[in-house]
Amino acid sequence: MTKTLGRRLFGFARPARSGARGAPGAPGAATAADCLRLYEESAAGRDTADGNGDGDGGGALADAAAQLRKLSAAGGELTDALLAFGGAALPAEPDLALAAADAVLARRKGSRAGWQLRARALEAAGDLEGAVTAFQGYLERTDAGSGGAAEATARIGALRAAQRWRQDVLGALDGAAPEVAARAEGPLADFEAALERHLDTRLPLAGAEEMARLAPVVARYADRRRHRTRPPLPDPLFGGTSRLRIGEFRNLIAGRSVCLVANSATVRDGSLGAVIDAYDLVVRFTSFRIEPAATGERTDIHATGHRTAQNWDQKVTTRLVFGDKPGEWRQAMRDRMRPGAQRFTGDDSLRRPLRGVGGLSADRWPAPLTCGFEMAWLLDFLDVSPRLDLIGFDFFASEPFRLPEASHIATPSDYSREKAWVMDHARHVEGPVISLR
Amino acid sequence: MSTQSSPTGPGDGTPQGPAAGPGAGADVHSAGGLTGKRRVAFAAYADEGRLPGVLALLRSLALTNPGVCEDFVVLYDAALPAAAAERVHALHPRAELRAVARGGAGPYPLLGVLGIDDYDTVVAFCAGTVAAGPLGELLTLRTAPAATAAPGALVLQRAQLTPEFRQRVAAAAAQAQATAGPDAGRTTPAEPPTAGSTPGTPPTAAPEASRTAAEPPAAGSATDPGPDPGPGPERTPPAADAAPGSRPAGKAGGAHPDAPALALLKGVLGDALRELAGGALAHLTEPEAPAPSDAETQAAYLKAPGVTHPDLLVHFGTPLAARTGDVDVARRVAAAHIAAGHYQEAVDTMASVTLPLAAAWPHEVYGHALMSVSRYAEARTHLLAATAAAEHAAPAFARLAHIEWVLGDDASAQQYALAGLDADPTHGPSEEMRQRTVPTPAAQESGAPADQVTHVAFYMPHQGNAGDKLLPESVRLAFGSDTGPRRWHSVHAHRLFDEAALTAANSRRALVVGGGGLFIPDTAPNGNSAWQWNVADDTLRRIEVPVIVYAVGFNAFDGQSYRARRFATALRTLVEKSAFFGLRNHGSIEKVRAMLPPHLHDRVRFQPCPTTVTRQITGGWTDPAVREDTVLLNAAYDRAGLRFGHDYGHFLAEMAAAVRAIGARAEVRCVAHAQADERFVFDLRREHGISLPVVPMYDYDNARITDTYARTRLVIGMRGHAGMIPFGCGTPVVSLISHPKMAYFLADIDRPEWGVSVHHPHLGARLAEQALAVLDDHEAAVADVHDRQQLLWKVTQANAADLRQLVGGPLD
Repeated sequence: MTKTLGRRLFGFARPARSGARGAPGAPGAATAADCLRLYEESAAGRDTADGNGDGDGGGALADAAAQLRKLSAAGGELTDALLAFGGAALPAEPDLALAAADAVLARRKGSRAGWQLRARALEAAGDLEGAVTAFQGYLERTDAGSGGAAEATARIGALRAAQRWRQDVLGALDGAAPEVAARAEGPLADFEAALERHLDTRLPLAGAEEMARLAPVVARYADRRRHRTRPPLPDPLFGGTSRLRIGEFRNLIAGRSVCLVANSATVRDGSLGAVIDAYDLVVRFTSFRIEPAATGERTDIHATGHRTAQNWDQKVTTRLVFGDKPGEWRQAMRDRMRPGAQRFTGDDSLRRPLRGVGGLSADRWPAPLTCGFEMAWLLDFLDVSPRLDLIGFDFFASEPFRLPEASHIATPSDYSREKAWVMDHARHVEGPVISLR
Repeated sequence: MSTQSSPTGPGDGTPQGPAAGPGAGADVHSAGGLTGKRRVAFAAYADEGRLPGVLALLRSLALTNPGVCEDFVVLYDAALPAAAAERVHALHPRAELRAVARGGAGPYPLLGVLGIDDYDTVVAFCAGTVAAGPLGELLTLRTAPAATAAPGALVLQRAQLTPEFRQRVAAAAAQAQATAGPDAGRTTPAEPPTAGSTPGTPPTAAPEASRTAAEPPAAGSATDPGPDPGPGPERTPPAADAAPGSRPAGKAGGAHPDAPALALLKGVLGDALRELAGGALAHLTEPEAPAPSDAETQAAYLKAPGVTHPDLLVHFGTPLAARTGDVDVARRVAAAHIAAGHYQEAVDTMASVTLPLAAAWPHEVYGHALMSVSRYAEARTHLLAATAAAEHAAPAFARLAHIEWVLGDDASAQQYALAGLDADPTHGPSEEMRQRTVPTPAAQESGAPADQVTHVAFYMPHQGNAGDKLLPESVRLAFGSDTGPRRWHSVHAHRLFDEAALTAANSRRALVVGGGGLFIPDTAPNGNSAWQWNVADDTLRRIEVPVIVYAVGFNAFDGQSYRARRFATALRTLVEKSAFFGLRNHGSIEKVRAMLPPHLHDRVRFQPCPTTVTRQITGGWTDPAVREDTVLLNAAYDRAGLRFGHDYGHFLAEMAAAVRAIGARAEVRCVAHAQADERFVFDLRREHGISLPVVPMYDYDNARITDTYARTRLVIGMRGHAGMIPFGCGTPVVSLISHPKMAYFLADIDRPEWGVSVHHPHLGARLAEQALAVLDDHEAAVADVHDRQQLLWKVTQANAADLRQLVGGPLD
């Protein structure tokens, strides 16, 4: 796609780049008819590209094209139709989008939406310089505080970074790969592909010296690739969050009284708030909700599953995140954890207590595990708590009491084994308090 | 298994590696002899007729038990063609062929296994037996002989092979032969299949079998093989097509050629012979024709699910990678080489295939191999290529950080470490490198170089091994009372000792290397010296100040094959260079002398580890007036497979018994030198319901370490320094021996009875007995420790006098 559109692309881009922005009304400026003609010409490619046959993108673009054709024939105002057509063409057919943008700008050179569409089209096509210029054109005509301005500023930043990256790579190559240097201008995707081919060819053949010279090139290539799926974090240290192994967690809680507060109506309807806060350590779970008189206010440990979205922003001493699949868990720890919201978190040794240190694989304990149970099991296993109380654990006899946003999360279907384990290990039960120690 | 050093000359004595030669087990200096790790071998008899079955057995073992690679002894009729050896070796990396008398083994070829007396346990497979599932029980039987009801396998323990036993067997054989006539026990290649028999039904004509060899396993029959069995899930009978041409039933109709031999042994052993469920075995009724080629076997092994054994992975993967260029196979083989400490082989493996740019994981492994042989620039580029893939970026960045740290560029190392944490904030090694290289202001004023001594040692990073944390300071105390930067210039042994380091060293008074087990190749692999100090021979030779090697140990592991060649040259250069060369025990001295030419032997002296005389060297030390009523236990888990073999479950159960017995008299606590040691506590809790309090010594500073050890009554430790430090503090010790170094230490103080092998069959009772004896007369035990320490202290003092002269006076 990139190759074919390149030719068409620059057919339109050149007049704009040679000075005036958008060259409205100049000879050769785009019209709606041009857009429709291009649309017909690329029809064949579009049909085969629409592999899944459901024609979603094709549908929206086809509708927009039909609308444009109708209005064009009727001689009506075409700006909105052109913008819709251009928008629908992105990101798959940037040349169509560019034609539409230029057609808009030919009629109204001050059109913000036209500039924005042009910028997006040029970016999609890989013309970084052109896109930056067009985004600037948009910014000039846009309120500084608006969302569009913020997006444009961010896009300019990213495009400039991409330009710098390309220059850095060329500098590191230092003339070693003319076929890559030949793509110093033009679509970035072409440059990246040439770079990849170059490295793919050279690395297996390179001797020690060439390997050393290639290192900075490979580093830049790798950074860009990795950042596509894993953009850099603002703070990889998460404001100083320490990661504890299971032994260190044990050292942290040893000798301190602990209560686990269930997210249940039993707690909500009681008045144990002060009692709860009187424990050395208060543990709350997933999407817990605070009603001070009933639940207490303090949270020392937040234990949650890696898929739950709530309460990651609540400031606690320790946040334990449970997850069965290591890759997903690592992803959540990167994406969901908030810098400064916890002093400590658990490392992989605390990721799934029952199945990990407990050795109880899924075939021996098939039912999915609740965070509450994993925590109770873990604390019982570590066996360093002088008091260990479960508060309000009524095994889903009452309705859940948790943040409204979490109301869609289902309660477990089979918790009979968890219940049996808890009652088996309980030393004392008094009202809503089950004492494991 | 034994690392017997050859006395033939420098550099030639490449230790044998895991396959012990005949009779090697008797060598008290062998690692195996010292640690008592149980040596297991599989065995089978092969004549021309049985060979296809033996090959099928070998193949089936690899494919159904990919994580198992015991020594394999093939007893063969001396008439077997030479090409047979090649067929066997293609299927096992360490198979050993032993000929029985020419003319055949007689009517009972299976009994040839009685001649294998250099293993503790022999698992002998009957003719036509193949493995159909995880062997489990067959690997963990330690003491009892056992056999399947119908011919499948026989387990013999060396303890049974007394002369009396052999006589009884011979007599029984003679009698049986006389009764049965000349055709008895003649071998047949394979049993003809009989129509009408189905898996699981008893054979119709077997005279003695009341059940088949391969009924579904009874309760509790199969435990997981490997260093940490645990109560694994019940194993269901294996798929019937595990070995083509076999079926799970015993045999149907006809006499199995080994049936008479089995019956004979059962007759002799009687009730002592345990019955095996044999569910993991099947009988090969028809040989596969044509047999799978080596190429097919290799490919099948590399596809086998489950954990692979590095030896088998290398054995099958190497030719497969060479033939196919498969990048992922090469990666796995290289990783196995790295895990075994064979770094050059790992490099060669990866160099033999073409890596696409996008093959991130292979790039990472290749980079790891290259940095381990000090080819840092090339390693860097491969590791950087790996950082393109999000999932492999963090490990690659951590290695990149390590390279920069080795080269002395902490700032770059910090950048890479942060990049690793950016890719994966949970990545432990990246965090460790970040902490190691975070810029810190200089703690104290350094002295002028002319007043200082360079000290090359393994400085433990934050929360590393607590025992090794104390060591550098203890070494310095031998030279004077000031152990700080005014007198000492610290150089981490693992950092490259380059020109800058050389210049710095030559501007100081002397260079001390030690202490600790520095002569080991894989804690900090490098291509320069093959041991822990990353210094090239040429650089070493250009040190102009006195070089003092102080209380260093030879630290190889039981079963760890040590690549001697490179080390031998580096060692020789070091000894030639040194003004003082002191090793921490006589076992190390002997091993090292065996690698040196005779004229250098006298240079190798005894210098005990200074931690063993802590209370003598520490200024202001007073013995505690009162001790806590505690007994501290330490277990170590690095290199667990080498420490425990298949016997971890046994070890854990025995320790549980010991803890209960001792716990009745004192509070038992686990002392963890490293976080990894805590696994002992978790395993004990999970498997035996015992909760041990933990002393987190990895978080303690040196003063707290020694204080803790001084105030307890007894320390039972597996780590070397979990014995040496408490001893040094005046506390009685018992050593759990899983590594030769503690045995060496105890020999030096003439107290071998303070050591118990982790493989001792009655470990729990023995430990309890010793512990209670110490607690019963604690004063006498302490006095004995003080007394034993005197010799070590005298040697240390005498050496110290020489050393203080070498460095120009006491370093106060």
